Amino acid sequence: MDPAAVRETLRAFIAKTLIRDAAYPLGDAEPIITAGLIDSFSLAELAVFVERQWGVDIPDPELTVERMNTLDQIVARVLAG
Amino acid sequence: MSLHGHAYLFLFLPLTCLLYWAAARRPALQQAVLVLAGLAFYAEAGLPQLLLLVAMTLATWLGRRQLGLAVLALQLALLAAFKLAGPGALGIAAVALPLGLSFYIFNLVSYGLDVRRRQTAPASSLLGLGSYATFFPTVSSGPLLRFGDFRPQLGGRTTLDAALLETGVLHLILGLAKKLLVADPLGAAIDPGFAGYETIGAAGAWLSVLGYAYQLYFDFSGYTDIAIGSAALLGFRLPPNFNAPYAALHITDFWQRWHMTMSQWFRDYLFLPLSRAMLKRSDPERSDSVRSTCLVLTMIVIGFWHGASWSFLAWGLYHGLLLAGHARVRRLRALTVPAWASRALTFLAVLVGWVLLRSPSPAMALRLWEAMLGLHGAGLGGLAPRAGTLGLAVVALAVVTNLPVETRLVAPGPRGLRSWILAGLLVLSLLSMGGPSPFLYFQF
Repeated sequence: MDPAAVRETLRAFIAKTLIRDAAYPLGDAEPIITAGLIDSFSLAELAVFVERQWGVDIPDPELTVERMNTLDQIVARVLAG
Repeated sequence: MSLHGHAYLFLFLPLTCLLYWAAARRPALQQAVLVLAGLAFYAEAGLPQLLLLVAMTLATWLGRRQLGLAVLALQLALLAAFKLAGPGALGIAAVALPLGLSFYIFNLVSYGLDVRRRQTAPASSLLGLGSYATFFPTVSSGPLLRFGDFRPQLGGRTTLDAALLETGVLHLILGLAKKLLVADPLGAAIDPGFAGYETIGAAGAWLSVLGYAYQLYFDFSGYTDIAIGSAALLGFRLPPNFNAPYAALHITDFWQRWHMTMSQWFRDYLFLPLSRAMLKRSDPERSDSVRSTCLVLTMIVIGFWHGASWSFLAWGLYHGLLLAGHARVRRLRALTVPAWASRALTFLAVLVGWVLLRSPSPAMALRLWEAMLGLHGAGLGGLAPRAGTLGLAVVALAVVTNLPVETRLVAPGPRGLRSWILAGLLVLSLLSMGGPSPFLYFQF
């Protein structure tokens, strides 16, 4: 997987589908859960998207604010496989 | 044993702390003290109930390898059976719900699931698991605990640090004051309103329901504070269960502040897995519908967890619809409401729901809602003799629950005036002890 491509694909998905604002300028280290931009259900949507897109299964216990609060964290988890 | 009674506060808790800390440096002995204390605490519920708690703990221990899922299914089926047969259930004969069943079964189920998901390692000894399952501060009404959070605190400390001791004492005082000085007198004051609901008008209905909202909060959070304080005296930090819920900005925010450990339990073990499973099988364009369905289903199950009566199920459905509606509105970004109005609307929505929780029959809930709408006049009904005091109390409690009063009272640091307030609360609480009424959440 190309890390840069993963990052941009995730950035676009989070902005368009989860935040519902395709033009939202999502930063790499910007908190998305603690800032209220997405909620628990969005994490489930994210996990399903990642599985469909790259075949990476992120187990439910990992869908937490501690582990998935920023684009950096999410990209790192996807790249870890 | 009641957590706000003489026997617990002046005998059981000090004696257990003494024995626990006397066994410091010997973790197995400390765990044995905890298990024995838990069993002694629970024994007052009766031998059959005690045996059930022991049996469920043993089943979890024995089923930790091969029979894990079967044990989990058995525990949940048992809980459902008791709920269906419980008082006020859907037309089935009333059977008393064992004390704390909903809480200790959920703890054991979360343990089983976390071990299966490799989120936590299995207990290395039956004593360790027993300490968790029978932990007396939480066994009767939570807060719900995760074994992964509990185990590192088990037998790990040889001395109690001053900050934790301070936390424990302050929470005990605050919890006692909430229960004895607010929840119990308030409950007694509003009971005539609900008892005579058929004759009550708008003023009486609003006072009754507002009073019930504060009674429920101060009763349950008071219990939680005593549980947190008791655990702290043994060196354990429990998770918070409330965070100013009546100051919530919207209904989703409310459920992130009310009975937080239960909300988190359902989020982790039901809502998230259910959402993922449904999303995988659905068109991505229909995610809003999936979200609504999952929210409503989860909240109905939460209602059922409280009891299998129509009122709990209706209350769960009501909150599920509110949450689903709020999610839609929030995603559309169509509405901007000032914070004060948002708080007031949220509190109003919660109040309407509390009517369901307080009404044993649909007719009573309907009559109370009608009265709140002014369809039966403005009368105070049975609340007339104490309406002035009750009104002032409700206003004062509205202020207290919307300001960070509680967190400031128990916050570490220099005290000054706070010491005098806490001392006053303690003295008044001690003077009010004597005829303990059960905590409202014991019925669940």
